[in-house]
Amino acid sequence: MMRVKSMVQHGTAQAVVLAVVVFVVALAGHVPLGLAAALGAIMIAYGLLLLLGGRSEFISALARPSEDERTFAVHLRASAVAGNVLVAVIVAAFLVELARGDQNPQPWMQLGALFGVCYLAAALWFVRRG
Amino acid sequence: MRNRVRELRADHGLSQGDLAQRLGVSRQTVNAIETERYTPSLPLALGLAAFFEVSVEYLFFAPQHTNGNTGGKT
Repeated sequence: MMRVKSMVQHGTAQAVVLAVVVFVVALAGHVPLGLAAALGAIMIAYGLLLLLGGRSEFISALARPSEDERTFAVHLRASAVAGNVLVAVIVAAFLVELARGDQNPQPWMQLGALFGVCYLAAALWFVRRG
Repeated sequence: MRNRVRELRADHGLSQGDLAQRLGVSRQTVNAIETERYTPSLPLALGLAAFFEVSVEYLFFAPQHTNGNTGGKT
């Protein structure tokens, strides 16, 4: 029981569940068995890394982002950096497709719109909540 | 943000792990505060000040006021 609790706390159980979901969905999509297994194995390897990370502060922050306020702050800032990089790539890809004459550059246009709507909604929420 | 956490922790004979456990944070967080790599939230700063029985202003201070605030001990 304690082992299961520890795996949930470290995010390993969630990674294993995601591995199974990825594996099943890949098989349902007629992805070759070897590739489906490899995709699942990547998630399981990540889960094991979280569980067996030992004394590494970096692994600990990945495994338990809400452990304390500093770890949570690291998580928020890392998410913001990753989000900014992602939106920069989306905008760049959108512009490249537009320059190539694509008048409906999918999926970049939809992804950019989704990011914008989510950002505005979140900003409104946090402004109102102070 | 400069602070006197390391100094006060040493005065109380506590390790970083001991202090972290009493405050409900990780040892790395205490280390980051002591080495001025992390400025704690107001609730944690208040918790630290209450634990050491000093004022927040005594515990944390701006770099230009390194020696100015000596009367904050409660």
